[in-house]
Amino acid sequence: MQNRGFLVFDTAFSCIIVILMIISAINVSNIMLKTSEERIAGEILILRLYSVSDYVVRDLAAEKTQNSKIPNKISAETLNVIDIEELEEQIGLSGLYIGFESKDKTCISRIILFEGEIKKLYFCADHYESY
Amino acid sequence: MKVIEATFSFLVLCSLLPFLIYDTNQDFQKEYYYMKVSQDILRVLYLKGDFEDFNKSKLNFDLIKIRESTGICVVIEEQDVASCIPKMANVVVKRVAFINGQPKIITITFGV
Repeated sequence: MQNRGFLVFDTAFSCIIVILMIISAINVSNIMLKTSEERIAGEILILRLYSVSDYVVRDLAAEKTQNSKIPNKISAETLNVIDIEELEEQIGLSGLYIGFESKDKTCISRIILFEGEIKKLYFCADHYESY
Repeated sequence: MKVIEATFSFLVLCSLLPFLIYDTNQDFQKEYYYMKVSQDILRVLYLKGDFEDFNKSKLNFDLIKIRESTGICVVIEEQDVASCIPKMANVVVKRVAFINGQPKIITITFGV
């Protein structure tokens, strides 16, 4: 009878520990899931910014010769032609900024040759829109 | 009792699994940045004509300008050209450059 009492006590104690561990594991999983979601969202935004920057630097704002374009060579004239709103809509980004100053947003930078000078061109955005 | 112990051990393992399988690849953005920025630097150096005549002082001037704006050190090993000495090499590429009219392979290291 006394042995059975110890067994029940042991089991009860183990059960409490197991329940506490399960609760903590669920909490940790939730935190990890949230962190992963935020990280993935950040990565998607960065990748989209790189896509925009590739498009701008290699095509949209690249200086043109007779038959081709010169990637990374940008002039004020070609840079001013960019329609930010249209680009935002096409790529699914909001608050897109392209310029020579960093903004208080998620930003990436590209090295370009602007009017013969080596410069850093920033691409910033607030967040992305899901397709 | 053994069943309880086995169950207990299994649950402990299950509770540890999220830690074990959690992906800690935080360097993704950094790696991608270095890849893109090294391509840009090479491209800009080509556009500036630095690899055509391989003028070391001109190349150094441009590399220092790049270091000032990006913080990235560029080293061209074979030609003793460096904007600074990186503590860690992030990207290493080999390119052909015309040095004294001869095409030669140069190793370009990007790092911080």
